[in-house]
Amino acid sequence: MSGPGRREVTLGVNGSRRELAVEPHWTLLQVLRDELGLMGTREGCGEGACGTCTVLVDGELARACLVLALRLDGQAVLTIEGMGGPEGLHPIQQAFVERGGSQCGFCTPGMIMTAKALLDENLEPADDDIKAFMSGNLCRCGSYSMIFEAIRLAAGRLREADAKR
Amino acid sequence: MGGSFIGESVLRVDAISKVSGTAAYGVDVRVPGMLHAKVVRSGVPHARIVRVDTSRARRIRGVRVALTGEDVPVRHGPILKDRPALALDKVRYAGEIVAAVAADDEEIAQAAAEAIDVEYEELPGVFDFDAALRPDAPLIHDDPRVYDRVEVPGLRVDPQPGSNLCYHFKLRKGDVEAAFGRADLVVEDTFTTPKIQYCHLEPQVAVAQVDGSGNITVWASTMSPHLLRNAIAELAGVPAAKVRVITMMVGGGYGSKVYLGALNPVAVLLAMRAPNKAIRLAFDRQDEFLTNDVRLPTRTTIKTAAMRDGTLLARKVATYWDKGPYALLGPVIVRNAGYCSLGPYRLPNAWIDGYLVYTNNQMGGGFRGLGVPQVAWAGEQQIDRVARELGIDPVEFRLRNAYRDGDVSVTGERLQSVGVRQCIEEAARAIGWGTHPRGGRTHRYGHGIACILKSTLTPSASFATVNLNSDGSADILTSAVEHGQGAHTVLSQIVATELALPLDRVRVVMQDTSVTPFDRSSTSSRTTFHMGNALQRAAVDVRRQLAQLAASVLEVHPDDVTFVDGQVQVRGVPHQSHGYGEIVSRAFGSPGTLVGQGSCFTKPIYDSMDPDTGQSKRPSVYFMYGAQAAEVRVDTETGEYRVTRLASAVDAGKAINPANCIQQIEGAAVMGLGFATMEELVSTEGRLLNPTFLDYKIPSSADMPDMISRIVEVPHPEGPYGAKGIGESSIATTAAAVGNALYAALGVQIHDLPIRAERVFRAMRGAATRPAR
Repeated sequence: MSGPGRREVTLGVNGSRRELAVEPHWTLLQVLRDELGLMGTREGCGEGACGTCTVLVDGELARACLVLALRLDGQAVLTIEGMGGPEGLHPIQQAFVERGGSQCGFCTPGMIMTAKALLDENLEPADDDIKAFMSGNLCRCGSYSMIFEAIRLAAGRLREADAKR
Repeated sequence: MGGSFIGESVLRVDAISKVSGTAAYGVDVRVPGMLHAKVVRSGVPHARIVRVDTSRARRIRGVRVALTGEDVPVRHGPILKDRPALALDKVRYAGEIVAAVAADDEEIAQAAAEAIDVEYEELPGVFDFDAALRPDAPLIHDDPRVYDRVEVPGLRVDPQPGSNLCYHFKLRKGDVEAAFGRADLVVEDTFTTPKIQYCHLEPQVAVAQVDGSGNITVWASTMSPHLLRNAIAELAGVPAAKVRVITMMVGGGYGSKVYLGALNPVAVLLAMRAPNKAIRLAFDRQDEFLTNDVRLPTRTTIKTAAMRDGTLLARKVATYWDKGPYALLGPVIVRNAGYCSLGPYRLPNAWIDGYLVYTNNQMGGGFRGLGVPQVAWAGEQQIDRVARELGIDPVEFRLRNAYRDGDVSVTGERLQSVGVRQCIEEAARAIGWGTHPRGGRTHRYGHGIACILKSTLTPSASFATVNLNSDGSADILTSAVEHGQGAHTVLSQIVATELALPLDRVRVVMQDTSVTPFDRSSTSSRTTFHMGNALQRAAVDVRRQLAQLAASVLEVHPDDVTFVDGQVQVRGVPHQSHGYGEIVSRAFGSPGTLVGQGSCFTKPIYDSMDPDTGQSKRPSVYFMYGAQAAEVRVDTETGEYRVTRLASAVDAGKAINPANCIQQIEGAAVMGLGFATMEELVSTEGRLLNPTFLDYKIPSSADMPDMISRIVEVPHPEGPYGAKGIGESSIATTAAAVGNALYAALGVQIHDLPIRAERVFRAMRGAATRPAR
């Protein structure tokens, strides 16, 4: 599978170890979509301004359209596919469904990844915390209020689950 | 559980696929061996094309097709066919597509695009209304009479040679000059609105493939698969039966992605030159900013006359609309917004002029609200000025003059199903009209309100089929596109209700013009009404057939057959029920399909608008009514302000899915907020300066006011369960509501959008806020 310019890189992707041969200028977004067939992460602007392509790399927020895949050797990437799917949704995904957090849905994967980063850091975010933290993810359909409600609902459920442990 | 889903906030049928990332959009389409295309855009706004040289590009290894206008001299357009697929003799806006290439991968395609040499002879351009309409102005089209045109009912589009005026809308009612003469108060002002971008997060994209028999398949991100199919058939010179458009989830449209546009013809024409190879053409964000259509910028001069008691006597308005170089949907926008530009008020005297002007600016397209946001900015702010000068509360003023059922509109229609007064009352109540915080030494609060009416595309048609499957589940065959507005969910609710099926036993199939019947488009807030009616009728057709079969199989009268929860039962025979599938297989001795069909077309009720007077007894099958109230907090020293609360009230007729309605009402309000407070495409001499999200701001979560949304229900006798349309009502009112709130707080009006802090500052200091030109 190697081409003349390709270099090897090993990524953890949604819990699986993947060994890939990538061109040095390929972004993580290209690798996710074109090499790994993970289509849930998409491009909205290609310049890191809209948040559509947001994923987590070693737990930190990253713009897949700007990050070069080769720089992530040995790191763990979490995409929307790793959050859950039709067989079992993550509480954040479930909350988005129940509170109508998606209209066209194009921003939704990036929104959910950013919401995960927020709730990983703070399970009791105030409204202003939510607004500020999510402000790098654009939603042109204007679902922000419902997204806030979904995040509050997910936070409550995650706190409950934590308390039970 | 079967039963009625009408009025239920069921979860969206597409929600799980969207939160799990498994929903498929146009950008996700992959065909094995597909080629990748890139376009070459003109960087100059007006120029003769001297030479396009693709020879260097063709020599690059991996380049399969290179195309210029000379290879395919075709023009298209929904009204006037004035737009070339690829530029021919001239380019008329910076961003116009001049050439295109298809190659083995994107990088090669990009390199090839950069290797195409274009030589231009620049021409003087026109970039504003006044320059464009001067007698000696450079002409965008030497002779528009040479273009083929499509007849549109109630529209006379007749651009003359020697002029850049594309279309002139006129409405004349009563005697405005006499009214101005006897009124107690007459005010006149001029307002402007800028061009803004759709910014749908999924860009435009198409994958086109032509097989060995000349059959064309296009996977397209479009709001109108059948319009696209017909247009592609015409472009390619083949019967529509040989063209198939497939559409999946669409990542936002808002009025973009409707006709051929800039992208689709190029994808198809490239594919026609690469037999059996799929060609993928996707715009990136910069392509979107530079080449896609924009909301038409406007300048409106409006004059209003009233009596001391607050009764409106007359309104006279002239709006100039900047079309860019090609007609597109422009005349319909100017007409439809034109006759709504005086607002939802009783007016014995009205005079409207709308001028659609060709320029070398970006292409104006149909954008959510279809011109009403632009004219409402002017008309609704002037209402507040009249109210204030007469010492009447703005809510009270509107309630005194707003339409009621039975009133006659400015076009001469006797109106029915009018919910505007209820919307005004609800919005005012929701914001707590008049009870905002007091403010302090350096800041003040204000409340503002605005209301509108908007038409829907008439005449238009929707056709649909429902297939009852062998196991009693149902396929819903509709070309209505799910672009975020929740159409697939609402339509599922209607069919499930009429067939007495649980919601998870019906499914909307993928939009595919070879399978799903004609629908005009998923635009104009028309889907719930038109496609809802069509599918309700299709489901009833299935039920009727099933009743006949059950009657024959069970040997009872069809009138005694009832449907409950996917089961056929017989009146007076309890404890017996039969699944739909059982009835079908007993009737045919085999599994089978029952096919029901339905349609909704509004031609019979439509009264064509007189092109000289704007009169029509029924120009629109229904109107959308909405009102919105804004609360602002403004710094009186700097002009900086925040919209703290925004309350929208929209007349849905009947909310089939209330939660869905709230999504659309709030979503439109957020777009309205962007138009009001921050969005502006900035150009100089036709060249865009901010083609990026870094410099073109749309609302983010940090900009959110407290949002309150209210659904008003004034049923429409012809809508499914009384439903009308709601997707555009709350985008049109925001700018004026915010402007009026600032007016209430500060006593000064802003005339130009967006309402930037600097404009507020200058207005407070008494300086003009008109953009320097």
